[in-house]
Amino acid sequence: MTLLLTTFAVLLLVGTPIAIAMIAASGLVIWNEGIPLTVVAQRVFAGLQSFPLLAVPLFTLAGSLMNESGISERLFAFTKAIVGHIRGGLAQTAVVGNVFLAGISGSSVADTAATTRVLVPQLERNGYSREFGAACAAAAGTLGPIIPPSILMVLYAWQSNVSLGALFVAGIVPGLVMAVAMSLVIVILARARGYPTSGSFAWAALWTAFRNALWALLMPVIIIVGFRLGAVTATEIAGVAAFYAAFVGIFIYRTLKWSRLPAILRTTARETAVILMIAGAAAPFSWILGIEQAPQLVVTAIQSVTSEPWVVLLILNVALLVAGMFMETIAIMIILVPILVPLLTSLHIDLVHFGIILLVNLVIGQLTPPVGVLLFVVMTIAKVSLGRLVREMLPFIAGLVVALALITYIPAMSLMLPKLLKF
Amino acid sequence: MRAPALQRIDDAVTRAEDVFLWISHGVIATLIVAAVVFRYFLGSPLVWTEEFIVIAFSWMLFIGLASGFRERMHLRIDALLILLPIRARFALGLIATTATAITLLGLVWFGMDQAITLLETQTPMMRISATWAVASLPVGAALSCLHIARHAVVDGIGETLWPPDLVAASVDVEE
Repeated sequence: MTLLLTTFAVLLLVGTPIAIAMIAASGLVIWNEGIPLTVVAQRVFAGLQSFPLLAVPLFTLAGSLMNESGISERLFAFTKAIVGHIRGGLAQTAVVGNVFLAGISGSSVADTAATTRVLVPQLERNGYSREFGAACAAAAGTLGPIIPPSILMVLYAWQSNVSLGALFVAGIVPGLVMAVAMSLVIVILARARGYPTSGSFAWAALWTAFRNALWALLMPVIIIVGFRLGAVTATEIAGVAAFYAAFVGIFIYRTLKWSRLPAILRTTARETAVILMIAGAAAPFSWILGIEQAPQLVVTAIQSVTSEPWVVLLILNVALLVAGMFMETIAIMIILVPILVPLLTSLHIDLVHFGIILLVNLVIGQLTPPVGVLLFVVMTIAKVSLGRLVREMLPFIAGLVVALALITYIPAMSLMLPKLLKF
Repeated sequence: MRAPALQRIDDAVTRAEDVFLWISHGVIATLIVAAVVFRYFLGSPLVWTEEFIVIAFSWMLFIGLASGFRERMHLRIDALLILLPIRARFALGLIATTATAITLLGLVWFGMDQAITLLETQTPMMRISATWAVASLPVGAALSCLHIARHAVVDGIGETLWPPDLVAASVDVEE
């Protein structure tokens, strides 16, 4: 196992693509053990022969089609009509808008990019600092993988063999808890800094904005109802969601041009390949970890320290937050989930609940240097410096860590809704 | 270095990959919805679709693997690279590119071995050779090698796997 992990770590540090680093490290170990190297190719290929994984490109496609239809502008106009009139209302629009945006897209990067482009210039014109606007956009973008649909949830459900429908529904309340935590941070900062309101409340304006956004708002409802009815698979629901998004964009909003479809399909196919190649590469990697009994070693090591679930969850939260600072989200998940599942099962920790805890940890990691991808997204689009951005980001990270603690130690937040809806 | 022949071949392959990616993704999405419609509304399930879709998906992923190398968008850990001056990236680029090229060539070789082994094995539903699916791995890996060679020769080892502006690239990669 030392050879596997050392090779992997060295290749990662020199900038080798994560998928290639996993395959190369696995190949080296297999060659060293005298096992035929064909096993690596077999396992990479077999790791990707999965119908459930098709939900990844289709949910990505649905989100991209909706974004291309200009839905983010409609959703932000709708949320501005709801919360714009309160102090710091335009900043609140970023958070509340992302609650809805997350219900359409499953990617924090896409949501953060859309929020930064639409809202940061408006925030700056209304007297907010650009760094604060950028921090709001990045923090709000973390809701993307928590509120369904979520690409990360598809991968976690595939890895841990839990119901994707249950996981999707389980993310709703924790996503709202995170949104409340970020809203409270904005309320406190808005009062301290005297941020302005943005217009006055009017029912007529709210109704108009709601009608404009209605078709997009229906998409998460269709997804959840599809899962609840249980008549179609997760992949088929993702396919229907993609078709719905194309239909709304082309025929209802008429903002999506047929001529744009090839580019959207191509981009989402490529993005999917890049993400899922890590899943394929993880197959031989996890196979070796399994042979080397890594999961059992983790169980023994942790249980020699404690067998209290709350302490284990505390240790895992700290470890995941630190890992999230240095590693890429999908890589952490794909490497760690097969190792952690036996530990969680032995402690009777619900895998759906842990899935939500894991994802919240990972999205917080996207906000922290040196490899916080959301920081780089807003830095590039909003043209802000890392140092000033991180300073503005700290209160949001603190708020999200509090939300993480609540989500970790109140399992009902994640598990109540799936139980109520009989998932 | 310019290497015009290599650039021309690489550009042509890139265009073909781009067309393949959008068509395969479009076909997969359409067939998945068609399968639902045929099963629930027409009462006549399309039994071959799942197997066909999984084969098309394999091709989409491995051609996407190659396209990802062409666009230098494979996920990596940039923490050390960002801290280093561009010149110092050459040394790391050499190690990373060599490791990547060897790994991909290994996938071409052992993937072909697997494809040849499965030549006579038939898929359960469509009764076609399993090689149709498995061949996607060596083909995708071979095309990846071509793109890496182009970047290495034309742009230099320091920019084979990563673009010069790593911070901006982290946005382009995942948007």
